[in-house]
Amino acid sequence: MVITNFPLYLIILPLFVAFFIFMFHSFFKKIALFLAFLTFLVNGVIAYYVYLASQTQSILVKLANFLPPIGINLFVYKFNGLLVLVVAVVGILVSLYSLYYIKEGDKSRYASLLLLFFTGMNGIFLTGDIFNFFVFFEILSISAFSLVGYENKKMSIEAGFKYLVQASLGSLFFLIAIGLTYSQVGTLNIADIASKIGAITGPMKFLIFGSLITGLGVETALFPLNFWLPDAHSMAPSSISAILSGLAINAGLYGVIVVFYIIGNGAFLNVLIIVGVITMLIGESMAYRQTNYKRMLAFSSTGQMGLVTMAFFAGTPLLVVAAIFQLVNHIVAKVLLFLSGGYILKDSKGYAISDLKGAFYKYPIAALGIIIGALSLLGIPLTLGFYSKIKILLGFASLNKFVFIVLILVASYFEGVYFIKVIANLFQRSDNEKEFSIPFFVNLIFLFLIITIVILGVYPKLLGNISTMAGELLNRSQYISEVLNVR
Amino acid sequence: MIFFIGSFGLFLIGLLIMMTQKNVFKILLGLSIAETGVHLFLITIGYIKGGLAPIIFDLNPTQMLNTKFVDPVPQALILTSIVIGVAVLGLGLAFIVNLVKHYKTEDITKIKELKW
Amino acid sequence: MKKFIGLILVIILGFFLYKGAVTLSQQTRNPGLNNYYNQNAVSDTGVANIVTSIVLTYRGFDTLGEVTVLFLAALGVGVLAFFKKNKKIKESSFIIKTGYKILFPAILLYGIYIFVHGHLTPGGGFQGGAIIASAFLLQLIIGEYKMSSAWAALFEGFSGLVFILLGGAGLLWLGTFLGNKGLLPLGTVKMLFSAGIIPIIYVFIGIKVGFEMTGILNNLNKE
Repeated sequence: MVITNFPLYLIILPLFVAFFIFMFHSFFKKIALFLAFLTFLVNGVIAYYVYLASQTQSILVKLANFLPPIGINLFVYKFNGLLVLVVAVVGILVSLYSLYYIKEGDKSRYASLLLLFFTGMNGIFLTGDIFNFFVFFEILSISAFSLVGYENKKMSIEAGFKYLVQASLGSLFFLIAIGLTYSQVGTLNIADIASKIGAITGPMKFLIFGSLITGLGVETALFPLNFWLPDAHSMAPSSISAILSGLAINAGLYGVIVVFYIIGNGAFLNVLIIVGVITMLIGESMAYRQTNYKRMLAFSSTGQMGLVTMAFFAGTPLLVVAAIFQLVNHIVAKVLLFLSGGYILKDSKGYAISDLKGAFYKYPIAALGIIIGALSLLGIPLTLGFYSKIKILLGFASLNKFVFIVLILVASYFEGVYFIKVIANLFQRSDNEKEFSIPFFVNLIFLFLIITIVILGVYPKLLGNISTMAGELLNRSQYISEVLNVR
Repeated sequence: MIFFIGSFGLFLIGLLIMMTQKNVFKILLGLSIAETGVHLFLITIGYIKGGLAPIIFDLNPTQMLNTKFVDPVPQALILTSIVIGVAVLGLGLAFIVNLVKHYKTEDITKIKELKW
Repeated sequence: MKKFIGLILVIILGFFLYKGAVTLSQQTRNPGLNNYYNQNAVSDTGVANIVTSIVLTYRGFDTLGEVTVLFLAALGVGVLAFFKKNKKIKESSFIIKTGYKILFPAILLYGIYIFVHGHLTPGGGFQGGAIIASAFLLQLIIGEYKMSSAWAALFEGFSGLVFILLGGAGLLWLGTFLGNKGLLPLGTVKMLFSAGIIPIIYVFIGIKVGFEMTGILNNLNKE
């Protein structure tokens, strides 16, 4: 294990540039988004080096020169090294897309908000202290509220307000859980809590984990807490829908993983599996009825989150590996679906699926993006989704839990129906003339994501040694000893 | 014990207000009351019987080691949390002003353009 | 119907919380990190107010997050702005207008006192900044608020940058972000100029919070 400061820049750099852009925002209106894009490029390079280093040994960052648990620390191990890299890549793509997609509104504020969103994301994945996690979670949520309401349209403001109320309620439950935990174990460091968790029993344990799952479940879109999601994700600008559906949901899921695997050592897993199943079934069946493209994708996100939760918390290494692949697949495919569909439907009033008619002949690369993204979420061969879904089904088969296999296939049937509807619309001839052409760089974004999905579908080992990541999560003694024994 | 009941009671009252009131402004106020309840709960956890406020008032080191101080960590936690609560409240108010201008009503049950 | 469901949920939650409260009040407090902080805060940081030492040194990263959250609120209020033409402000009474002339500098001075002495007495940057913002709120109510928003934005961003740069100075000289021990002399406890860079950080946080809250109030007032 090595002690350096390198991962700290992933958090500090976007923060610094965000302050800088705001300082001169009256002068910076034209180039603010471009500055943000450059920051994301630098961020991507740093994230790549952090990822490479984390696959061989873990990295600990001491803040303010105090050892954990006295001070706060950041800790990079194999799992969050991969997540940080994925976040950085999505950041580069979304900032480039925003250069062409955002035409109105205060662009310098948009650029600052986008940079702060990614500060929050990186902070959530890197931190090793539970109150610090809460603070970065709030940074993520508040920048998401403002970005959802960015377009100042009637329904965007309504969606943003409902999101605000429900997410704040969730964070209150999270704070209660932090208070209860502190009263029982006297520390706030994740590794320290994990080593002392045995002291908590009985009704206190139930109360703590219940509050934690309520607080984190609002952001992760688990069943009774995801009423804000379809509105918020469909009414935000398309670049923001992509990062909300692709990244913010997974930040919540990462929190649930840390709480229930690293801290809790596998407590209450059955509850999580049941919640995952219900979320998946409800999400996919609601998506089936939508005529609004982005609303359909938002419901599909809840369904996919249900699937990933189900697979992640089943507890065996095989299923955890499959869930990690499905997680990465969902991020890449959902971002691709939102970005490409969003650009085609840029001028449409209600983002209706029927407005996608004939897109394959007018905007071939964007339409190909929608097709590949949809196929990857369904699990058709040659895409990353095929590999991950087969592994999930095989994993449940090895546990002899055939009821889950049936439920996943039922949900996949619904998914298939609505995605086939979208793809069929793409190929129909329409009478509208082509109104705008997609800029070269935007097409490049779509191509990059398409090629990533296909290459990872054929060579999934490129993501790294996922089974050691799963092993690290299921057996957290290495995490605890590495953080607490540093000198 | 009375402090725990009081702080949880505030939290539950705030929760009740948020779930049952129809005026959007009252919903935000309920959020603020619930937050106050949670902050009180955090401070109550930090109380140690017979402890003083954690401020050094005497320069004598041995004297300092013998005095019992109240736990300073929850106080630092709620400092941060109060500020976050204020920020969310400010943002919520901006949302409400905008919302009322668009929909011309303050009743949350009438603000339902988005359906299932 | 919806009210009934809400009531049932609150009652169930209240039952669980009551059981938790009973358990909590019967336990004795486990000694945790607080012993370390209470004993060693003075020798580590030279601050008389232990809560300040936690907020700015031991958990300084949380304070960075908190400053960011306030900044986000100011950004968000700016994004959601929906300005009308300047509305007529009701003419304030004579008492307020005369009282304002005395109160405004007094409140400002009190706020500055609170955040400059953050390491010696209870208080600190955030509290002082809020008091300063209340002074400007008085100005807003009367209608004499004259600060241009470009200058306010400059000060806000600048103070935030200074906070990060001070942490970065710790990075360069001491090897860790926000490190305090070797940077400036710790001095003797209870003196105004003590505790390394902590008072400097609090001054900038106070300025930043003051301008930020004022900006938010100004934006809300214009709508």
